[in-house]
Amino acid sequence: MTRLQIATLSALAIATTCSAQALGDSWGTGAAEAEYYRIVDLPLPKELAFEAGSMCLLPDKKLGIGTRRGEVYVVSGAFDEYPQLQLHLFASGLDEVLGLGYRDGAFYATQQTEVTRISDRDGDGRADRFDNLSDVWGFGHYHEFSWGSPVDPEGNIWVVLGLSESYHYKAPYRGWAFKVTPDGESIPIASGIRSAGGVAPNEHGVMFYTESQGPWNGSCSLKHLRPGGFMGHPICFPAYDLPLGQQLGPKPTEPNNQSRMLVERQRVKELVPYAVVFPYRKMGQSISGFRPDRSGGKFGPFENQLFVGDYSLSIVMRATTERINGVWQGACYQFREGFSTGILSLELSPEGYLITGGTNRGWPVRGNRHHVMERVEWSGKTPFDIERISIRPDGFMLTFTEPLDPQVAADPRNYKIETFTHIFQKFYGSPEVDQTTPQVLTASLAEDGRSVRITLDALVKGHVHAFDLPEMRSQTGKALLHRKAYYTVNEIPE
Amino acid sequence: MALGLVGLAVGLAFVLRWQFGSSIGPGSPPVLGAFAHGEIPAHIRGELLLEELACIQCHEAGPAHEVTRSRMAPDLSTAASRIAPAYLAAFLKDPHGTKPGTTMPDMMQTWSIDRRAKAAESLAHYLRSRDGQTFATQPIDPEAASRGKALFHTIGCVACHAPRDERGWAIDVQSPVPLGRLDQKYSVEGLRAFLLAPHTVRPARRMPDFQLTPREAQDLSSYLVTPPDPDPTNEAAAAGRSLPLQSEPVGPVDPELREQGRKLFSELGCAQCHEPQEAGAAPSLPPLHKLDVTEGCLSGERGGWPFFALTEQQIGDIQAALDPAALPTTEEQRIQLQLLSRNCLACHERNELGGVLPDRNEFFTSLDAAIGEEGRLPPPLTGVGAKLQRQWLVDSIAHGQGARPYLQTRMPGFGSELAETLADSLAELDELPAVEIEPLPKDRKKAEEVRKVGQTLVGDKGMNCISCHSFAGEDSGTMTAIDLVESTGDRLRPEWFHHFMLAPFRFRPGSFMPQFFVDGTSVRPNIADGDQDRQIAAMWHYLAAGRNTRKPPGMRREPIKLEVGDEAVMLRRSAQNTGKRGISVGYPLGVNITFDAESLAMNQIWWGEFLDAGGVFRGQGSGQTRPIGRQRTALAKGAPFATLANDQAAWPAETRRELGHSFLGYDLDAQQRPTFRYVCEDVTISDTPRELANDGSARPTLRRTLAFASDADKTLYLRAATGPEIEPHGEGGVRIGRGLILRAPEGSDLIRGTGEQRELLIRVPIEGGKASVAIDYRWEEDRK
Repeated sequence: MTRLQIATLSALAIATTCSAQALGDSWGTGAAEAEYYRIVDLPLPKELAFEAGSMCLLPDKKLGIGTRRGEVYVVSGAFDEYPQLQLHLFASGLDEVLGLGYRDGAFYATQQTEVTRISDRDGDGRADRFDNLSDVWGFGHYHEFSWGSPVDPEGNIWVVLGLSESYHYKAPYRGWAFKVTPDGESIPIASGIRSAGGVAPNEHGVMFYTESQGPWNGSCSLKHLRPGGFMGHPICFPAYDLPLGQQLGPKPTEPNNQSRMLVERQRVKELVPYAVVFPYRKMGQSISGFRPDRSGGKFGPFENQLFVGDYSLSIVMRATTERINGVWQGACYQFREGFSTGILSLELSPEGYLITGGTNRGWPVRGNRHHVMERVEWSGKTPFDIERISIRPDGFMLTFTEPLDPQVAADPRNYKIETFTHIFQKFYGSPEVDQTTPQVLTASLAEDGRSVRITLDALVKGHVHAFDLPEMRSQTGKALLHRKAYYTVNEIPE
Repeated sequence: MALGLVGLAVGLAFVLRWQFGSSIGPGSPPVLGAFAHGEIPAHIRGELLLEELACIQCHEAGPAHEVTRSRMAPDLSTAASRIAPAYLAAFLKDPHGTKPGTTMPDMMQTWSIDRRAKAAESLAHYLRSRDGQTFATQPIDPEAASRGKALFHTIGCVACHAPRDERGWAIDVQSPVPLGRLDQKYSVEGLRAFLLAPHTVRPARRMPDFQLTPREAQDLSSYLVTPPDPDPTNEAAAAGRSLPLQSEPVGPVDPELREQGRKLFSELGCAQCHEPQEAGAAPSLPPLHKLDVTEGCLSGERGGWPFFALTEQQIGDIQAALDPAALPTTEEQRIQLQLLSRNCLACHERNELGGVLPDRNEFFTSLDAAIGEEGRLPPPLTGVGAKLQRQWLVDSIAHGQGARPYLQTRMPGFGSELAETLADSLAELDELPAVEIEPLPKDRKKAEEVRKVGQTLVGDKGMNCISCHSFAGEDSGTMTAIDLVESTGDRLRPEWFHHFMLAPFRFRPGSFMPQFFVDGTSVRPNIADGDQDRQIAAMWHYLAAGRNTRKPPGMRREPIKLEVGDEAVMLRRSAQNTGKRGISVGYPLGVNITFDAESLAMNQIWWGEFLDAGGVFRGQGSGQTRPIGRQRTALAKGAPFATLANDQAAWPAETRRELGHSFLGYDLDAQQRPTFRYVCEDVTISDTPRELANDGSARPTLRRTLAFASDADKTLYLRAATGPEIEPHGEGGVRIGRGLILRAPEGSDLIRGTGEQRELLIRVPIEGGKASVAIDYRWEEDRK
């Protein structure tokens, strides 16, 4: 090879790796997914810079949307069979609405510096009263994002406050979570947050948030907002000395750097482990809004599971959670790729439509359109997929969406499992470390033909268990639409 | 040869309108859209026919042929609910008469009409038994149909299918892929479902997926199923028997007929090409390379074989392909076969084959006429394998990914299977001369220097690429030529970029793009020593970095202006002179303020235009909002209310939070004007700034009315302004900064301190639990 050719090749290699590495590889399943779940554009007026930062369901098949540009829209038509959005501007002029709830005729908007109740007293369809419910936290930098939940059953809004510039503690209560009551009381819930992407109840009604990879977070994860809990990032500890911070209890022990979550959990009793780890780039790169499917089967076979968006990769994933020995954990699964913009927020309607919204400004995003609302529709065809994975004392129960080929399903060699964990450290992210390859000892197909109980020689506590099932076949000979899934084992049941 | 085919297509025009005669016609030769696209050798045409007529569903391909199993016929498992019963019966009975030009062979060519009709009935019963649903019709919305008409003639449907005239009849054009009478075949819903997911029913993917929105599919379907107006000038059409879209309610499936139909489906060979495929004896037929062309399908005789009604030319083409002495197929011809079978060449040209046909040209339109032909016609595929990165090419072919938002014609998706193989063959075959592109230095600082050179070259003092091209989603202002950074790094190969920059016209002869390098010399000799290789590499590294790269010099950064009309406009964002919790309000008469929800002070005021939100609405939103209008005047900093022991007592240094003051929120009136509500020193205060017109002046007055409510009587001090420029003005006024005049209730104001410590206080005595104060802000007129 001549020097010339080598130079060309290396230039090419650099160019390709640059672009490929920046946003990871795609799953390559988009075309196959489209047969089951179709992504439909919900056209917006061309001149409108519409950046859906938060969503909530409203009565009468309407959708509330809060935007990065500070508007609250009441949207009709999103759940019609042939969707044609009608946007009604309810309120405007707010500061990055990254949380929106609705109760008894009022919106509850989480803005950068406040939780605000917004109501329409004269009933003309436009907001006229804005009540500051909470502004107990400090701020100073633009990169201090505040994420809010929808209204919980008691009427509260849960607010998760990102760190200053996503690394530092430069203003009171950065890195903390609060519960804001309808009366405007702000109750501290947890500390140790880094940079959130969404707050909402999980499929069991327990409040969770999505966390981004970075210091003290080896990868993105879904985390349980356990009252009194510490989410892992200790830079926010000064707030334990502040008046409200004292309500959370004494300052936890500082976690050791370059340790493991499992080890530090023994030392730091307040430390809440990642419930579901989303391995970096394989399963998203900045996970964002999430919602459970409550459509009663109208959105396909994944009823009562979570659907989780991702900003960087323009994808939606699934997750299931379960509480084992009092600790939340669970699995994440591939669902759909190929959205047109970075997903900030999503909502799943009782009619069985998944609405996604967002923008691609400011950060690298795979979807190359700026302001997009899209809808995922189930075609009515059931994909052959892993429906869920749950843990057992000596292994897992894997449930699939369709009956399995009994011979393939009963062969333990058809279950490839590798485990790994991350370094728990103050540096950015972590490689996957401490890999093990457990042996699957037995695999028995349940009577329903869709569930397989597998036993392993060793479950590894504190590790992500990565499943790969290339050989799995349905009764009708189909291969899995998505053959991979990742279960985070914090606890092993008795 | 090309002429002969045109003749054939024109000859078909009559057949196209000939519908449903009372006897079985002479058969109609299959029409492949692909044949209009230039000189193709006979054996390649033959290979294409072998593929498109799905010959290898019955005959083995043999070693020498290019045919694949890609041409699967439509899935009939759901045909009974998808297709109108009368049409289905007519088509089964006489496919060529019902849909002239179809590639479906007549499988009952020697049978009597009666026997055909009975067979069609049995087959219909069988297909109904395979389908859970029944056919139903829906009314057609004429408005949807009218939108559908525009779509049909804009997005690329007519690249393959015949455009339609005002009455809804197909216009005679070269090589139209036949549609038959869709109005008699489909309901609105049936065709809509098909258009949304064409590959479910037609797995061959010859009909690509346009990724329509449900609304678009509804519109297109409504248009296509609208019956054409009766055409009095066309006797054949007028005489044609029309079929009812929905006949009498379809009765239950007759078990006996179903069983006969099931047998026929297998015996007639339907299951060789169509789903549902049930177990049946596959015919044992000779492989293609051992065919005796004097018998069977190619003999021109009728008998117990499929009748394709092939023309003599078509038979000759197939014979040429089957001839063992035929020239071997070249790699380029293999690509051609794939491009022809999917009719890619109806839109794209490759190596002088294909391109938009003259009679379709008018249907290719642009959203930006300024770009010219390049903005209107789909890009050529010549050399595309050396131009595009593999993944981009795959995504384009598979899902219709594109980088040209100005093209009205859409690139549809052909699925991953074709995309992967075609992308590989194109990449292997297409070549550019090897070229050395200096890689980006590993050293961060040096890499930054390289990109900086690229940035300068792209900017207005370099090649000024931004004068025509969009950059990170922002238009150039002159035209919207392809975005320089949105996809460059993911889309283009760097060597192609190098060669393209040297001679753009070589790649796009119709382009307006100038040549910047002449005889090895750059037109910008003062940048990077004028070295063409360095300049091109620098531009590449700069542009390939993506949309978040730094803007080039000269990029117009238009402010994002918030315009104020009849109502006030508010924005709560980080504001100049205020901080993160500013609430800026622009009033209809052109006076504007920023209230700080953190300090609770009204801390700046200006007149004229309101606000530029570019700093917070762009990128990550790291900037601030910026007042645009005139005479912006900073008012007060710090907590604005306090109780003082006397007029001389120092103003408290604490923040309002430390003082226990709180922000309650605000109300809006019908014109969206706020009344701020807050509590200071246990006094509840409502603060209502309103605009007032000044006759004969462009500078309005702002009147701020403050209402106080308290359980205890006290005197509150409002610090209305701080800073060195606070002076008494005229009778009872105070001048702040350059030309802002504040007027408080007579005798309530107090100016004290010097320099930065200078401040304007207003005393508010609260008596009987209440007080009200009005403060006016206006500007002096300029001195003439």
